[in-house]
Formats: sequence, C-alpha cells, structure tokens
Amino acid sequence: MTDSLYPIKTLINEQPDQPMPDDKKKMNPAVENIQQLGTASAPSPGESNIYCMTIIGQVEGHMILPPQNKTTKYEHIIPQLVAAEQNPKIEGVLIVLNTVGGDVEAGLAIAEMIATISKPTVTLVLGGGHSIGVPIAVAGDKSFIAETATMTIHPIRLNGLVIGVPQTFEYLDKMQERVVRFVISHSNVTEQTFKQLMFKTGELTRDIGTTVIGMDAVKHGVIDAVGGLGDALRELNNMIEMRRASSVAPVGGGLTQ
Amino acid sequence: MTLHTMLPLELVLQGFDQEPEPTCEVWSGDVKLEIVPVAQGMGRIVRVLQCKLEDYLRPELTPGSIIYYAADNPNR
Repeated sequence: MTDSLYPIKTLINEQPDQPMPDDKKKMNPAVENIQQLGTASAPSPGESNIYCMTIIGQVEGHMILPPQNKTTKYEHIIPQLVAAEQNPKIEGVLIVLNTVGGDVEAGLAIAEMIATISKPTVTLVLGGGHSIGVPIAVAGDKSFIAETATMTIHPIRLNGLVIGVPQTFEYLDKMQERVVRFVISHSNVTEQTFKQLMFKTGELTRDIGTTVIGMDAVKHGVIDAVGGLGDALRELNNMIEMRRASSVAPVGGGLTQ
Repeated sequence: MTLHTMLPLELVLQGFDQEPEPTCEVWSGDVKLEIVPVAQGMGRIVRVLQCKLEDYLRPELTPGSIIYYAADNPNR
C-alpha cells in the first residue's frame, strides 16, 4: 500500500512545474457553470433579509417542564433576538405564535425584547396566542391574527406554595398588573376593556376570562389586524422599505458654510 | 415560577416528580451543547451553552433538534 505512494512522490519532486490535475478546479467558475449547467450562474435561493422566529407550545422559563410539553426556551429566544438585532443582513423580524402560555417572567422578557428591537417587527398569531402569549403577540410594531386563531385572556392562577395571607394575593395581583400594563401600553385595548375580558365569567368552562377569536381580538383593540402570512410579510417589507428610506441621509445642496 | 397558561396545571406538570433525562455536555464544532444522548455520537439538544452570537440564528441548533457530534475532542 505504502509502496504505491513512493512513485507519485518521486514524480512530484522530479517535475515540479508539471501542472497538477487539481488545477482544473481553478477554472473560471463562470466557464465551469456554463460547461456543467448551461448557464453563467448557478441558481441559488438567495438570502432573506427577514428573520422568522416561532414561539410554540409552552414558554419555558426557569424550570424545565416535563417532556410531554412542547416548549420554547427563553434562554434560546433571547440571544436569537440579540443576534437578529446585531446582524446587518437582517432587516426585519417576523414572530409567528402558536402558544398556550407559560412562565410569566420568560414571556414578559421575550415580549420586552421584541418591543425594544430597533428593527421592524411583525407578530402573527396562528392557531393560538393564549395567556402569556398575549403580551408577546402585542409586542411587535404591528400585530396580525389569523381569522380562526384564538387568544385566551384570563387571570394568573396561584401555583406552588400558597400561604393564606393577604400578601400572597397582593403579590399575585402585582404579577398580573405587569401583564396588564404591558398589553395596554403596546396595543389599542383600554385597561377597562382588557380587565373586563380577563375577569369575565361564564365564557370558559374551568376558569374565568374570555376567548377572543380572530376579528374579536381586533375589535377589542388587542391585535391590529386580521391577516395571514402574506399580509404580515407585506407589512414587514413595507416597514423595511420605510426604514431604509428614512435612514438615507438627505442630500444637501452645496457645502455647509 | 409563576405559570400563566390556559392548559390545566395537572397536564403541564404531569411527571414533574420523575427523574429528569440524563444530559451531558458536548462540543459540536465551536459550539458547546447540553444534550440528551440518544445514540452513539447523536443527541437531542437541550440548550446551547457556549457559541458565537450568530450561531443562535442557526436553525439546526434549536433546542429539541437532533445533532451529530464527534467523540471526545482531546483539544477541549
């Protein structure tokens, strides 16, 4: 086996100017493409300037949820948003939601991150954007909901260790107020309407609250418009165009004196 | 931890008292991952532990994805 290598090595040493067969690869790529494909350039899908992020299942926070849950981990979503903000090739972010809720801290952290990105963001609720999914759904610059998608607006439930003292309920009320404040400051819904939806009885079988479907979410002012993927992308592209236009420095007439 | 979910808590937390799946830390290229081993040199990503910022935009590194990793790298 090794014996067969020696003649090749000797040949290379003796004839250094001899062109190697590998030199064929150094052919002009355009010529090579014409020979191989019949066109000057190989077809490529092209790089998108929009980053699509999905928030599905349970929003997982500080505790790892049991494996039967499909989860979105906030420790992955947050650096993803930082990377999207930092990457100059990404000009807009599309957030697609189909979530049943999850950890309050994690959900609000994601919502705050989306709300504070300097690039255009559009959120699209498909299927469902329930509970802590509501602040995430309203966090974008423009929000859409599919006609059949639903959003359950309901109060935070007590879980874990509960001490039967007024302070426990005050704490819970504070947690809930954080969610309410975020939603009313990032959407067109009024505090009164949102709290009415949240504390409504007779709508849900095992809870108090309301399920709003598609157009109802828009009617109450929680979501901006009913629409699907095409509408969301069109809006995002428009926002990107506007941002590009506004970032171009105005051409002055002559030198500044 | 305060959960705000429409699903009944007994469904969400079912199996919470059970032993979690054993995980290990591996390197896949320049990315350090916590994985649940599923076969030799193959694991399901639990989380990304160390990587460059732009690596978070790689869809193959999303938690839950199956990844192939090399055996122990002596340089690490």
